[in-house]
Amino acid sequence: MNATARLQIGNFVLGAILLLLAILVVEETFSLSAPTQQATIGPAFFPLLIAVGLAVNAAALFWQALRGKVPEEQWLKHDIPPVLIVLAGLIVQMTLLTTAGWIVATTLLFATVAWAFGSRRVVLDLLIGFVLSAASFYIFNEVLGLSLPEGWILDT
Amino acid sequence: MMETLQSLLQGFSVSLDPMNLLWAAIGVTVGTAIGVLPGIGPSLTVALLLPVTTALEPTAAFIMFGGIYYGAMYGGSTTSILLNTPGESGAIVTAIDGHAMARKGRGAQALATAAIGSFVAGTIATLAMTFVAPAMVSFALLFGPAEYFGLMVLAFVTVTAVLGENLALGMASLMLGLTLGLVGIDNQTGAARLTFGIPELLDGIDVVIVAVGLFAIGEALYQVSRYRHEKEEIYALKGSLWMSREDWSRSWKPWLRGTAIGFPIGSLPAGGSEIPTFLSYVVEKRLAKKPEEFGHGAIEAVAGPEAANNASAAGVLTPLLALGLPTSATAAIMLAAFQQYGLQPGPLLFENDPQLVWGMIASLYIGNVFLLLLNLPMAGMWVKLLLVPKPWLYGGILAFATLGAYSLNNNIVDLVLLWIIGIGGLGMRLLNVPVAPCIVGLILGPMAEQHFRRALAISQGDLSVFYNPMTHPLAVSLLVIAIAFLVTPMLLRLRRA
Repeated sequence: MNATARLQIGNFVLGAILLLLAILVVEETFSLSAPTQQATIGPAFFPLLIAVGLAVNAAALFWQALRGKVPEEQWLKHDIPPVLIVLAGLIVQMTLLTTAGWIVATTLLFATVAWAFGSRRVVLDLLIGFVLSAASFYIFNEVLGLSLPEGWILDT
Repeated sequence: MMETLQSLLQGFSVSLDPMNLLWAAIGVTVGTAIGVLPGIGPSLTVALLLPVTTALEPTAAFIMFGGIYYGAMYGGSTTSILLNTPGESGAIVTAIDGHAMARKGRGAQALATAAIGSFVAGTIATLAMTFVAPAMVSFALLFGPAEYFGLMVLAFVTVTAVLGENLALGMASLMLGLTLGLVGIDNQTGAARLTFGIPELLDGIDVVIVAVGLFAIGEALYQVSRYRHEKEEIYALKGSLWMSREDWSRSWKPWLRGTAIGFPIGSLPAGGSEIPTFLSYVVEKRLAKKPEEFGHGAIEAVAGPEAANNASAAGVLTPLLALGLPTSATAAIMLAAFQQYGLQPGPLLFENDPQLVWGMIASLYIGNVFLLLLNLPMAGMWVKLLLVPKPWLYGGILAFATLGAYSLNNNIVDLVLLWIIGIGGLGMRLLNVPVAPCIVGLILGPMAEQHFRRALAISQGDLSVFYNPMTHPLAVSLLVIAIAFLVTPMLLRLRRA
């Protein structure tokens, strides 16, 4: 598949997303409970305006895609698996964050991302991730007064 | 005039306070350090460092922010020159000849002309801002809700359409931003819009989440999909680190011309740094004695655009402070920072909080001096940061991106949003959809809606406030200019086709 075809599909997908969003916005807006305080223009006006904008924009993208009038940029080679690994790393961090704490979760995130970028020195990556997340935990919680989750490591 | 000078002097007394000097110094240093890292442009730098300021009182925080912004601009030029990876669109032009100079072993000279040019441009433009901002404030006092609405529509259009490579893609980005801006409680009626019953969404989607998601997560996902196919070469600094006499004589005029181009365009609602940098490049090429060198390492082509870039950065701060109108992604994030403190930039801020406004402006002068000192003798040190291997670089970027997103409200929902928006960012990157319109739309959309509804509340539902030139000449002309900006490129394209 050549670059133009891929970009055509891409434009088409983007248009489809905008169209879906338009429908979603309209659907959600009509389910708004009527506001008690009547304003000149209610809370539904702008969402509907934006929904129209989304739909028009989607139409423009479909039209571009069908006529093959997409910008002639090079479509470069992309690997999908490493992208999925990074996304998985983020999910791991999210799920562990409140239980295992910032340091554990972020160390794992760091090592996973490093793995996705081709690093195979797992122990070193874990170590650097640990130092980085422990340092950020200390600086942000102790010095700047944020509250990153401690998790069970520091609880015990 | 005298009043302005007095306010500025007051500002200096604020910013010369030892603690505030320290915050400015930390701001420029951290801003440079983060800005140097490849893939991190000024807007992401500001977004990532937002949590750092939560512990500070507003004046100190904004003094630091100003430093971070200016520092990130300096740092970004180092990356584009030595690595040819411009972190933001304003640095694209610098990268062309800057990187060519680096390949020829003249990287140090390219960095030097960029740093000194940034200093010259930053200082002159900050000076210009000092006097233009109060004038803009007194002009803004004439503005009612209808005029603000017109101004915001103009900003939408110019951010989206003026570059206009592909209007449909730019508009798509804007529409996505506007849609994200709808989420949350409508603050005039209390109706919850597009919240899908998730309580964490009632406050709306934070612009920081979107900026970090699109820039940091989206960029990391893009880079990881490409790392096996890309080889980057860093050109070490060698030989004399100083500019020769010829370098100086070829640089000083482009610095001044770049400033003259960058500041006015940056301070218009059209804003942005792309147009001034491109314009400066074209002007320098036309005026150059050796135009054939352009594209192969002409020092003018680094000096001019880099000055224009920095001057427009100061320019963008003018409507941000005076009108509360952000015209670039970075300015949108700064506005979000103001809002976090419950502050709304604009005429009232000058009135109520002169300490903060003028303290921040004064520390921009000081920050520029710091930056010159940081960047000329210590350029070699920053270059070392470019050597951080990609696996660790992006591991670190994602760690700090999630830190910034999580610490906004301490909830996981923000991390989930970040994840989703990150995937969107990858998609936008693949399709060449510009990101800035989305961020500006997200933050300006709700403001535009408020002004629109307030204008109609005042006129008791009479829509003529937006089209009757007799009663609202300013609002109508702003809207007419916006439509012209939108329609003219379309007509030109139709005629060409």
